[in-house]
Parts: sequence; structure tokens; C-alpha cells
Amino acid sequence: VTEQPVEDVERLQRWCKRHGIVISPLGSSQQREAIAERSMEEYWASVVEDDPQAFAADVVAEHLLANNQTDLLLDLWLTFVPPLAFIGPPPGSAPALDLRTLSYFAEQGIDTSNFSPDSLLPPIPADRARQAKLESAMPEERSSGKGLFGRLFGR
Amino acid sequence: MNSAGVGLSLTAIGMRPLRDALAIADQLRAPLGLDFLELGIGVSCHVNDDYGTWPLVLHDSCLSAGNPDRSLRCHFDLLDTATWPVYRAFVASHQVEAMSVHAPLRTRTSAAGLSDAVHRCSDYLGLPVMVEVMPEVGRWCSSAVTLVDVPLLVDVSHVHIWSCGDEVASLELVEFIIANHHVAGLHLSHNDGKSDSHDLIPEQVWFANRIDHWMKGRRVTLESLPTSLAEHRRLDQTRSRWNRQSNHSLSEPSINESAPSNSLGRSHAGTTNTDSRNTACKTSRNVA
Repeated sequence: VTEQPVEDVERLQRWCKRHGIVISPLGSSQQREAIAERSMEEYWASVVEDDPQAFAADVVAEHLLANNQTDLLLDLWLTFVPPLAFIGPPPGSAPALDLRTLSYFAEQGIDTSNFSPDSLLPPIPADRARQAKLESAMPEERSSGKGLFGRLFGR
Repeated sequence: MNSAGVGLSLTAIGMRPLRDALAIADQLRAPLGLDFLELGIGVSCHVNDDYGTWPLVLHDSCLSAGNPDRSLRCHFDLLDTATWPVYRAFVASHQVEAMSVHAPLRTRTSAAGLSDAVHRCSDYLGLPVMVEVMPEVGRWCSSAVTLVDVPLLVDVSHVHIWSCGDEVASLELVEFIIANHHVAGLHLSHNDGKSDSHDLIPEQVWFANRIDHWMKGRRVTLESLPTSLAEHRRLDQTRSRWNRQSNHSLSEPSINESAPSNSLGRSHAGTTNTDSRNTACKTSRNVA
């Protein structure tokens, strides 16, 4: 995974500030508990220091989604992709958040087809063409009946 | 020491006394060609219990200690060395082949800190230590971009949650992880991509065609049983199935139908519960 330049993170921080976004402790109860005694500045700094990319990918997006600020999520995407690669993964990698976010957009009825043409994001598999393609690229190893599933299902 | 093979997690046959769970495991050992037993959440595994001739794998905070009638779970924290000794003592007196742990919250340590902790823990226990990929954002190893350079335990159902149940994306993600990281083990179970429900594994599950390829040279643990062995499923799943049927007047559910979680996102299995959100899928999750 490519490290994101610090200036990109700082740019993202400025973007958040401009939009009045104050990142507060989000996520799991354990997460909240873990940072309960830390100031917001410390939390922010520690997240950025530990993993700028994760900060960019998760913290801001989670905040926006949690607060129904999907318009800003779109703007965030369009502003920072590809420079920050906020959602776009490195070439050849399989994205995780990308799919989650795309799924979210799809659920909201947002047309994702106009997003960056250079985007590395795979489209939402609206049809099963990709499934067929994938299966054709992957041999049917199970058919011998001697593999794990052969044992599990008595074949 | 073996670094590959097929094992059965007690979680798959849990919510029973250890004695009963071991009897089922013994019964399935030869037919399924099981190489090891994984101690996990769902069955109380006391440090003084007899695990027979099974080679063991320890999963997260699986052990309990103290008065057998009122034993307490021994919390294991990769980042807290004070929690390690009881596990080392158990390893010293049993045939333990490996240990796997949940990836910690990113707020607790850096990637380098996690890697260092894994290596120190592995040295301390004298075992391979694997870090499990997690379904919750906020933890290390909870997405393709938060994976850490340590031996990984890929729970395919956690990955399925990353992709919100998109089977093709889940396949691609697992392929990506295996191609780019050190994957030492796999956890197998089934879910709908929304919660870690540990459903029975149907014959046509999304990873069926690839598992024989993925498992080469790795430990593979069944965290839920195949539908063909439904009679041994976790007892609570059997109960909840009927409770749900009576509560909602449902027709007979299929045997591989998802086990429900309650409104608090709390697992019926007593598995480690988390209250995190999948920001896109908007679901609660349970983790084991």
C-alpha cells in the first residue's frame, strides 16, 4: 500500500475544517472507551500519525456517513481522488472501503458512472457478468470430490 | 510442528459443555480428516481440562481458569504482556501448535507496534501467532489498506462483510490478501455479508471453488459446520431458529438460513461482541 504524503492528509484536514467537520470519537464502544480520556487534538494527531491512509479512508468517511452528510462524502471523493487515493486503491489491489462506499452510493441511488474515469474502483456488480468471468478464470477445483468440500459433503 | 491442515473450532459446535463438544469433535475427526482442534469462544475451555489427543490451536481469549464451577475467562491482549503468562503455561503443558488473535484497534498501536507485539508474543509462547482480519472498521486488518505485515488469519466471512456480501468482491479480496501478504491460516464460516453470524456452510458457498487452492500450506479452521452436519450445530442456533419461527410465524426456515442477531447486535453464541458500524452496510456485527 502506497504511503500517502503528509501534505495530502493536511489538505484533507483543511478540507474538513472548511466544511466545519469536527471529527469526534466514532465507531465502536471500545474505540470510544479507548480514547475517552484523550483530547480531540491528541486523537486526531495519533490517528494521522499512525496511519494517514486509514485516517483518510475511515475516519472522515465514517463521520460523514454517520452524520448523513453524503453530499460532502461525494465532494470528498471528487476532491481527493486520485491525489489522496481516499477511496481508490493502489493499482492491482482489491479495494475494501471502495466497495463499501460504492455500495452505499448505489443504495442512495447515486450514479457512480461519472466518477473519475481513471478510478480503479470496480463497478458495482449489477449483473453477473463479472461472476461468470471470475468463475471462468478459476478452475472448478471442487469437482474432483477429493478436496475439503468433498469431505465435508461426503462426495 | 504442522503448519497446515484442517481443524474444527469449538465455536462451530459450541454452547455445549466441553465434554459434549469433544465427543462431537472425536466423532467427526476421522470422517472430516481433522488435524487439530481450535479452542474458541462458545465453549468454556478450562486450563485444567483434558483435551485428549487433539493437537490444539488457541484462538484469542479462549481459556478460562479458576474454580471449575465458576471459572473466569482469561483475557488475552496482544498489547498487554500481563495477559500472556497463563497462555504460556497452557502451551507448556499441552500440544498447542499455534495461536490466533483479533487485530487490535488502530487507536491502541501503530502498524509497527502491532508487528513488534506479534513477534514478541510468538517468541514468548514459542508458537506461530496469527492476527485475524476483522470486520470492524477501526481495527487493524479490517480492510485491504489496513493489513499489517504479520502472519495473518483470514476469516473469509469477515472479508465477506468488508464487501457487504458481494461474493465476487469477496473472492477478489481474499485472492488479493493471499497474493500480497503472509497468510498462515483461514477461518471458514458463512454469513450474509452483514453480520458475523457463523451460519452453516452451504455446499455452494461463494468460496467453495477456491478453498482447496487457498488452504495449501495453511491451517484451515471450520468455525461453522457444513449444512451436511447440521445436527451438530451450535445449540443456540437451533434454539434461536425455533424462537424466531414462533415469534414471527415464519415457515420452516432452510437449514442454512442466517442465524439472527438481536437488536443490540449481540451474538446468541456469546461470542465476543462489538458495537461497531459498517459504515456503508449499516449493520451491527458480532465477531468471533
